[in-house]
Formats: sequence, C-alpha cells, structure tokens
Amino acid sequence: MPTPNAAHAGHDVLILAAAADHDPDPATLAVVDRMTARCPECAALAADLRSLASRLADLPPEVPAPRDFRITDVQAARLRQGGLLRRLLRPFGADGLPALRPLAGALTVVGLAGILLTSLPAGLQLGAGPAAAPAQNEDRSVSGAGAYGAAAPSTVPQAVTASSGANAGPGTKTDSPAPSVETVTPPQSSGTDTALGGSHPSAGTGSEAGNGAPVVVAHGPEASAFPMIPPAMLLSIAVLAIGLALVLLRVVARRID
Amino acid sequence: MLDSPSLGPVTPGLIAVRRAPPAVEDPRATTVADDPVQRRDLLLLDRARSGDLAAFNDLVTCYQDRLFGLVVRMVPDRDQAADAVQEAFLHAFRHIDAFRGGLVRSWLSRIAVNAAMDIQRARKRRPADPYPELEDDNWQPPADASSDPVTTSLAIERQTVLQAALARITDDQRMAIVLYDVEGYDYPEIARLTGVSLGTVKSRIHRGRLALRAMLVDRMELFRG
Repeated sequence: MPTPNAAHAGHDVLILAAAADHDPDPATLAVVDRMTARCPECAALAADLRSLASRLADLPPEVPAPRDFRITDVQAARLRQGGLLRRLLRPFGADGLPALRPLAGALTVVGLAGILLTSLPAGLQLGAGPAAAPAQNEDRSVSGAGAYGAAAPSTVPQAVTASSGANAGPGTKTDSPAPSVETVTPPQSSGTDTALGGSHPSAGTGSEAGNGAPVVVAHGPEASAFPMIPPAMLLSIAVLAIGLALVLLRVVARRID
Repeated sequence: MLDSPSLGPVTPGLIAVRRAPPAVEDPRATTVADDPVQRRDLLLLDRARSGDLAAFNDLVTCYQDRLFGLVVRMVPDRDQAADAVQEAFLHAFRHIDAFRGGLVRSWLSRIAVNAAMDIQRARKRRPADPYPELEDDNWQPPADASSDPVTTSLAIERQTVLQAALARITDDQRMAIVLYDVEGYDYPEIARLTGVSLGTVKSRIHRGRLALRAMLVDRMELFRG
C-alpha cells in the first residue's frame, strides 16, 4: 500500500494552482474537491495556494513613486519636435503607415523569387523551350578563320568578324590571353585569305560564309568580366533591395522610437 | 408614438416609455462610458492631445503611483522601475495620438509593462547584476494606517516576505502573477499585454504560485487565516 506522500507525488498540483484563480471553473473545482478529499497533502497545498493568491491580491496596487514623473516644458517641446531622424523615420515606425509591413515583406519575397527564377539554368526557366539551348550553341559555333589564322599560335582571337565569301580583312582582336578555348569549326571550303596571307593551315571562310551578314562573336576576358545580367534579374535585385530597405527602416524606426 | 408632438403632452397615468439615451458623440470606442474615472481620463487625454501639457501631467499625477506599483513588482530594482515608469510616460506623451480607445489605465499599463519587459530583457543580457532591492530594507510597502500596530507590522512583514519571494521567481511568472493577482487583469488581457498565448499565461501563473508556495512553505503561517 503506498504511503500518502508517494501518492501525492503523482497528483496534478497544477490543477490545484488553477483552483486558486479568481473565478475557477466548476470542472476544475470538482476535480480539486475530489483530490483534496482523498489527499491531505493536496488539501494543504490547495489551502496554501488560495491563501497566497488572496494575499497577493491584498498587495496595494499603488506604491508611492520615488520621484515626480511629470513632464517639463522643455521635455515636452523636445518630444513634440522630435529628432530629425525620428521625424524622418516616423512613417516607418509602429505608428506609421500600416501597409508598410506587408509591402516590405511582399517586395522581399517577390525579389527573392525573381532572383531564383532568373538564375535557373536556361532549360529550367519558365517559358523557355528546348530550342533555346541549341540556338545558343549555334551562335557559339560561329568562327572566323581569317582572324584565327592571323593570331599567334599562343593567342586566340577574342573577337572574330566573318564576312561573306573570303575574309575581307582582319578580325578585331586583342592580345590578352583567352581564358577559354573555343571550338572552331574547320573551314569547309578552300577559300583563300589574301588579307592575312592565307598561310595558316586553318585559314578559310567562316562556317557562316555565304549568308551575307557579318557575325560578331565575343568571348574572352572582357565578356566574362562584365557578364550580361538579364533585365529580369536586375529588376528582381532592385525589388529585393527596396523590400530589405523597408524592413531595415522599420527596424531602425522602432528601435529609436 | 407616445412622445410625438401630435399626441400632446404626456399625462400622468399613461404608459411611460423609456426613451433611448441621447447619443454622446464620442469617436473612441470604450466599454465603460459611465465610469467617471475613465471619463476623466478621456477628457484629460483629449486636452493633452490638443497640446495641453498640464492635462497630461494631471494624468501622470493620477497614475504614477499605480504604474510604479506595477513596475516595481516586475522590476524589483526601484531605480530601474522609476526609470521605466518615466520612460513609459514619455512614450505615452510622444505617442498620444496612438491611443485607439479603451481604458486609459490599460493603455498606460501596457506601455509600462513594455518598459518593464525591456528592462527585464536587459537584465537577462547582464545576469551578473543582482536586484539591489533584495538587500534593501529601506523601503517598506505601505500599510493601512487605520490598523493597530500589531496588524500593521504583520501586514508589513507579510508584504515584505511576499515581495521578496516574488522577486525570486522567474521574470515571466512574476509578471503574470502581478498582472493577474495584484493588478486584477484577466487572462486574455494579460496575453495581449505580454504577447503570449492564453495557455502560456495560465501556465506561468499556476507554476509561479507553486514556486511561491515552495519558497514560502516555512512561513506560510504568515499568510493563513
């Protein structure tokens, strides 16, 4: 047979504390009545908790203030005027524009989503068909044999101009080393390259020869140093920056408020 | 209609019809329009809004002891409690236009509770600083002047012991108990004031009571009877 103390240890004392409320609900009281009828420890605890709650309620709500808290004219003038920063940030504070918080959140989310979407590989982007990748490959396969032939063996031309028929002149080139190797399509025709001497074994017309339109392909340090950022991503970055700025302004405004 | 002009004056003996009270133009929503204290507070607040500093200072005079009593039980350091109350009044003055109706007392209490919570958070960041009030015997809680000396000294001792025990329970439990048992707020209002759920408020109060009883188990004779 368990001792009274051991039995009390398993009792729910929180419900005894709940019974000391100002207005305990009848169900709680019924449970507590049953507990206190059977367990003397519970009865003593319930009585003590009620006494404590009653004495807490007897504590005077007012305690004489150690100083006068009235606001002086100088303080009032300063508070009315407010600091320049506080006045500027007031619209972003707790009492400011109510739509600011959801707007900041929405802009941040939209900006993040836009950056994620625009940074996806081309094949995964929404609305991008499978034809996009081959089109890029075609562009990259354009080569200008004339310029290629003019370059030193250790130097790969950076910009190649392929003209119709035989290469009419040297392609624009730079002497800086290329960081990447471009796949160059060997000349299919036996065209001559008079301007460049035609001594290079790979000299010849570009693969686009015959279409009449000059094609410019740029690869190399200049191109990779300033990668072309899609406008959609630029817009997303701007939206994200505005959203984050609004969040930051709100935090600062609430902090100094 | 009985009181329509076509019926002429109402003569005694006819059925009396209670007229609807005239609508009082009061844009603020308040559930205690008949409470004279609330009406006084709203009047003072209106005047303060229009730039009457004296009206706001009247409000300060009315509530400074109450707010200090509230905050000093949450932040047992009296200096810090006074700073919190001062900050609360300054905040109330600065944001007087943010009062959206309801009880002025609750509005001021909410601001004071926030100030007290700020101090508690700062305390948590510097837990090495003890509350000086625990060693400070200079301040005694006020007692009823009409009581006899024995009762008065007993009441003072009881309040001192209770205050010391309150200072030793957790900040959250102390705040909940002070708001519920001492200040008389109900559960939903405390949940709103402290920004936690109703269940959390109840749990803090109940566990706080058990913690107090565990601390005072040897001195419970002071509180019985």
